[in-house]
Amino acid sequence: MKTIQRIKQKKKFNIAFDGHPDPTMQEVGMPASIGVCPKHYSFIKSKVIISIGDEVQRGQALFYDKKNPQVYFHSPVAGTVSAIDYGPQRTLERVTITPSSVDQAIEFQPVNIPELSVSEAKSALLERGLWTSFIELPFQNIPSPEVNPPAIVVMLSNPEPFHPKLSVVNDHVDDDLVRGIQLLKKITPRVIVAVDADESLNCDALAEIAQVVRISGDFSLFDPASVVYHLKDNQDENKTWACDWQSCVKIGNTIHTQAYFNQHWITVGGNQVENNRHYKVIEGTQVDAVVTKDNPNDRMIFGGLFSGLHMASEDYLPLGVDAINIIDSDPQPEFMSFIHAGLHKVSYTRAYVAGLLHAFRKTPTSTALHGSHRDCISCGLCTHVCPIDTALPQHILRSLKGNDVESAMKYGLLDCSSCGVCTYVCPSKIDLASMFTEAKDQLYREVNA
Amino acid sequence: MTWLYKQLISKGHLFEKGAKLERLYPLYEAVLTIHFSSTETTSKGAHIRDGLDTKRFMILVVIALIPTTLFGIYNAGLQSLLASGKPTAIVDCIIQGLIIFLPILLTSYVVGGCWEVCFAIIRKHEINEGFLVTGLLFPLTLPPTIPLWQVALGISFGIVVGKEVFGGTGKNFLNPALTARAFVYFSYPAYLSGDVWTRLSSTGAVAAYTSATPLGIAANTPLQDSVSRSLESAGVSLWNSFVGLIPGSIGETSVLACMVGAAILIGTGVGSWRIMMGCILGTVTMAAIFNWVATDTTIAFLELSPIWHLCIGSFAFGAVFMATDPVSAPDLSTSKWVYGFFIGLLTVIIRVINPAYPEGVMLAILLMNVFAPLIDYYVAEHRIKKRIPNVI
Repeated sequence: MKTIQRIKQKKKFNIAFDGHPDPTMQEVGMPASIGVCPKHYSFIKSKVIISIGDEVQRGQALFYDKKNPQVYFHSPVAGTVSAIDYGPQRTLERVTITPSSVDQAIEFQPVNIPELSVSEAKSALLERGLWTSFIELPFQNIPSPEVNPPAIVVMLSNPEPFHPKLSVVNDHVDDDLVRGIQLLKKITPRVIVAVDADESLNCDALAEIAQVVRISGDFSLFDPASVVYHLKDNQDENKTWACDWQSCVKIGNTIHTQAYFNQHWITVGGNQVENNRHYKVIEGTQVDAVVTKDNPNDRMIFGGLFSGLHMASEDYLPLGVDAINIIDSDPQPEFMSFIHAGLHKVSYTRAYVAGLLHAFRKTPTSTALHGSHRDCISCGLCTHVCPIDTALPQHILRSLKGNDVESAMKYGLLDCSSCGVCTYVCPSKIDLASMFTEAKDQLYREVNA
Repeated sequence: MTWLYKQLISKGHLFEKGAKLERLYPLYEAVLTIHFSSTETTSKGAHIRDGLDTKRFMILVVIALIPTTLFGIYNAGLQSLLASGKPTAIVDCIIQGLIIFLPILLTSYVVGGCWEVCFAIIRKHEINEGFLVTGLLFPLTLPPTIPLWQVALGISFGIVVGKEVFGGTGKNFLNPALTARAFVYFSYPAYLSGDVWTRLSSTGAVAAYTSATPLGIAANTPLQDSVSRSLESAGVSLWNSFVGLIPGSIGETSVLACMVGAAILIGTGVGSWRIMMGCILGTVTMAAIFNWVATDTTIAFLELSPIWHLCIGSFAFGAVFMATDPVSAPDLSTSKWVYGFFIGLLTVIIRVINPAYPEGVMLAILLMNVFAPLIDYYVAEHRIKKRIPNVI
């Protein structure tokens, strides 16, 4: 058996937030309607190839990316297209489908994984609408099928605390996951499987076919960008691809059953929800079928507390989103709060008494900014919590403010995993992570113009 | 309190964009946020944020300064009464101290505050709470004898040239309080030379009382004499200078009070222990080197032991409160050590070698403030050498 590699980093950000999802699973049936919403993919330009009223089958292509014309998004269910919504500048918001009573699926050709060549493996994925499983570093775009990746990182753990855990659903997916990884091996010989060392997963079987890396440290380390940063030994590996465990299972299952796999695991969390747990849903499910937001003052977040999407209320679960969190969003004014001892404050630092109690209790969450926007005072907290140990967020910030992207990259802009922890800790309430993401997006557009 | 909040909120529309009092918005924002925490929610980036903000950050420094301030008030009163030959009951000392200190503090806050508000309104930025710290730090570095007009001039220079012309708190590269102190020091050396630093009450001085600061005494010690002996013969024992019962600037005499402040700063994570330790290391190293090279023919000050260096002058105050100002200090942990070490080193060099400047901490910190970005640059270069570049 091959040895299992380890990445170890001291935990610097050891906070447990309240509203954590339980490790129990509930299955949610077919909702009244399904929305295929590509909001999560920032660089695509969708072109719809069906029209309202069309009957579609499960696994039938709905739209493609004009920039990557081979990359299609497929329908997760069989039914009738009931609406196609566009947003500003005619970007596709979502395709809504009313499921039919009979689940008709397109039957794909059988595939014999061991005999595939690289191009056959790629076209097998493209044909089945599975290409969107990949993102390419450092810009987190959907990679072009023409490119061969230096490596593919499969994340078995998630970069944020409130995300579905593979260990909760492991029994059901083991074979599919292995099949998925076998197929990825056909695209690149180097497949890296990264997993949280604290998660109780037996990775011996995976170690036979891929390079397994156990990570111990803050949750912000469980991100493809930081895994690549800690493992890479040459510059080419900066363009590694990444794929999460759900997509890998989807690949394995779709290849095996010859029909599009439409199951998706999500977690519902946050302190304003009662049933915090894992759910097994249909891709693009109606949110109401899983959870409802009762209080208008709460905020529903699609994705994690740190990197979740900022969007107006959405009726359908956007593609690629694994979590729904509902947290309090109605901060009350406190009189002279900055001189309180701060027993009930939220703090990572010791500046409030609460900062000493992380080990004993859950930290309350809310969307309060807890302060006003100020200039950077060079406190150094962002550099301290950054999972990329040679990245210097404060230096990147300064370089970007001076429009000096070269220096920003020198200080590690492209290694940034957008975990959002620097934004979380900033006492001047500077949104470093978004600034870095915007700078990276801008760079991507310039490079690919 | 709900009443006050409602009143403040209901006046908010007057300061909005396009409204009558739009220009005074920074003032309104300051008044509102000083009383009530912000109810703003996140609109971008991480949905949740930490409870620490710059207000808390700065107020913790003010809290850490309380022991120093209280002791400074007592000691200023005590020295004044001693020099005037009056009884020195605690209450008398405090009253006399308040009479000396309060006008200086008020001048500093009022004049400095006016500048801060002016700039905030003209430059359209928020009134930064960093001023609360600057406005208190500056008076504490002054001798009790300072005329109030000099306080006003000093704080004006510190706030305007030391900070606001660069864009306000966060953009300044010098510590504003020290810039103010340096301005007064170089403009009116007669007042700050360290020779006569005790304010006398109306009756005049007692003949036997020397009011020179320890550093003034040390610098004037003749060849072949021992500095510590001449200090002790002037009534300055090591213990007294540790506790702070000696003449000197209002807030700078007590090492003990500074240590309490340091404990608060380090405990809350607001002040950098690396900088403080660096300062101590630098001072001890340089003093030890001087002790080693000292002979009978060299100046007597060279022989002063490191422990004396740590206890006299404003070393402790500077290392704990001035050097740790995050804005003017370097950012990276390694650079903080280097920065602190050089402050200590330079402090002793300026104190001992340069007879024109009996106190070196202020100049040492200002000098290192200027070098902070350079130190950071080299430390950052060294740190990113290890990385595999990720560029396009």
